Amino acid sequence: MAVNTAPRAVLPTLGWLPRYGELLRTLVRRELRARFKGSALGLFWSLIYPLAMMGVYTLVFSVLWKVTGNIPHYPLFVLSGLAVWGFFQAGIQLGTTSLVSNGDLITKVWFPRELVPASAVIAQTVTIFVMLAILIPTCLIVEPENARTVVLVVPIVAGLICLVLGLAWLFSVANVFYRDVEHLLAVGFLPWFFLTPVLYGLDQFSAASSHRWLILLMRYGNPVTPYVESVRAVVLQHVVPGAPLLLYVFLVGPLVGLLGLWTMQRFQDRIAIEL
Amino acid sequence: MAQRAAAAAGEVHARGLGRVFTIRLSPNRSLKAALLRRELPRTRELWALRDVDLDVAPGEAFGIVGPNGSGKSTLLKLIAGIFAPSTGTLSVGGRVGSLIEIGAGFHPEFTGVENVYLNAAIYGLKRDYVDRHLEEIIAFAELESFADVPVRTYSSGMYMRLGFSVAMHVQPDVLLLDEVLAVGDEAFQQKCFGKIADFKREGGTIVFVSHDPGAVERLCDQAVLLDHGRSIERGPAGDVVRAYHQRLVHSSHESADGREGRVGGPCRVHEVRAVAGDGSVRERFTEGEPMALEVWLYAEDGLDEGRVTLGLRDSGGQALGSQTAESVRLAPGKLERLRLHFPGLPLREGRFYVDVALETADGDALLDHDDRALELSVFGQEPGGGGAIRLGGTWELPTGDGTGDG
Repeated sequence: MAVNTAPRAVLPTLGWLPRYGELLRTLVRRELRARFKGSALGLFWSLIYPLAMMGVYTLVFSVLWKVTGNIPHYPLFVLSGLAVWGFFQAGIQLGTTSLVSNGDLITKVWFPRELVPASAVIAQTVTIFVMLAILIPTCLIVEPENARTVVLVVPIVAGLICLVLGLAWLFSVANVFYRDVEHLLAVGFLPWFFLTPVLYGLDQFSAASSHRWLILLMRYGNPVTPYVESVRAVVLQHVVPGAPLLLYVFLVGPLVGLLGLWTMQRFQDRIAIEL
Repeated sequence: MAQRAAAAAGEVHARGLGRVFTIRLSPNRSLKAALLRRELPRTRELWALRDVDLDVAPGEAFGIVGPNGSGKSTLLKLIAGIFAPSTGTLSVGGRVGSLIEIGAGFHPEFTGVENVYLNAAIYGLKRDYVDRHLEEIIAFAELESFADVPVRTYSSGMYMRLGFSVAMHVQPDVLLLDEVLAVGDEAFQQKCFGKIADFKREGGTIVFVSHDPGAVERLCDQAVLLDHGRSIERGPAGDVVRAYHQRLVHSSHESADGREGRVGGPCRVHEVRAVAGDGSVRERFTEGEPMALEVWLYAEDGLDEGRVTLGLRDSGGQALGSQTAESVRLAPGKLERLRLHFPGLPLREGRFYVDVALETADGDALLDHDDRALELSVFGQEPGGGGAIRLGGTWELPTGDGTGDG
């Protein structure tokens, strides 16, 4: 026999996964189709944009302004940052609005609600995979030494996906209760982008030694920064990130993921009512 | 502690079932407002359902009747698992197929076929099962030529057919139905009832919610009567329906509250109902269907000459039209009925509200009024067509060979 509602769990659970795996696949497949088949260029678009931005940033900061003198391979440096940031931002934004925009479904049938933001985020992972598929071979050609560290990108990106899932779950629930969360978030992403070392490296500044606390805050106070830095380190700079950074990358992502899942399951019931 | 417990396939058991909703008094939907005002929105608790016990055996058809706002839909949604109970226990055995509201579990942007897969996945079915049954499902819904079109372009009749077809093909143990079946053409309804009868014969359990006591009596073995969230009467469907009728009559003499049996002055609007061509009382109609709006009036000391106005508004509150009956006479101390007949309901798809006002003959004094006395849902038959009004009229077309007088 089967009961169609999971008992309310105290701890977050993935117990629904076997039964609802098919639903998750269906939602992801549908999300992919909507996202990438709708326009004529499809997935190509999600690539063109970061590549174009890479060109623009290189032109402005490297060619014209010449403030990137000590950063080798600046275009790849920017692109590796954009790969992480692009997924981070799009995953959270799409995940956040997903519960409200699927309200029709949620108020009429029962299934684990966490599937909805999760499917938005999972579909969005395609963008980072495609970016990495271009970035990694290029980096290997430019600096063959990257072959020694590049495999570490797998667990780092896994941690990143957990982080984005967790934040998408948290914000999507918040957005159900306060509908302006998605707008506040959209506004917040621009300063957030500039506070994330995508266009620059945190250690590059002369202020790095005189304002150590500020650099520390920027590195560990912004959850996406360690992921940007460590992906870049293993893909482009053939460096294994230091222990604090690695610890952060492997711990914070999964913890935020669990927190998001727990929140989702905590508010499971109230979501349908608020919608 | 509220919980859902185990039950054998096709069984539904509830003990002391209750559900409380927190109503926000100030509709505060923005974080900005909450932060600026530094206070949480004021709320009030509302018990939609209280202390309800239920036992539905496998293979039984169980009806839920009661006036508007009595907790019928809440009970259905609890059984469907959309809400969790606040108090008591509820156990539902096996897979629950639900046909609650039109297009339950459809995504408007998905095509018909995609929605079949989505819906089946929600029910926990594997993809290959749907692969095997897809043609059958689409064929039963008679949607072969619309299978690859987003369902938002479907008419509600088409929505319903697809929803019904999927729900019947996912092999549910318990089937939840509400009045959606009132939608669709006669032939398809017959087909649905045939399918439901088969389902019941094969041992499936049905839980059916309706405003129409007649339909419950026809379809159900057992029933429960709800009022203000409490179960008033349980037992064989016939008895429960009789109890419901009795309550309706009584509430007109007692000073009851709420929608049913309003308290007014010596003259009052007691109830407004919509009656279909076959005499059944419904709130869902198909575009162009023959129907009547029925107003029940009560005057303690009688009324020599009054005026009754029925007004129609769309869901946005926009007035669409009204009709006034002059020289209405009411006998003292009796419930009296008047009807406004429509040979074909002049509304297109949408939700509409009926307002009623009872005035003195010269229109100087408003004796009673009831805004939103009734909510109507109208369903279109064909996709397309805009506006709230079914314009009607007949066309005279050009002949095409220049012989017209143009």
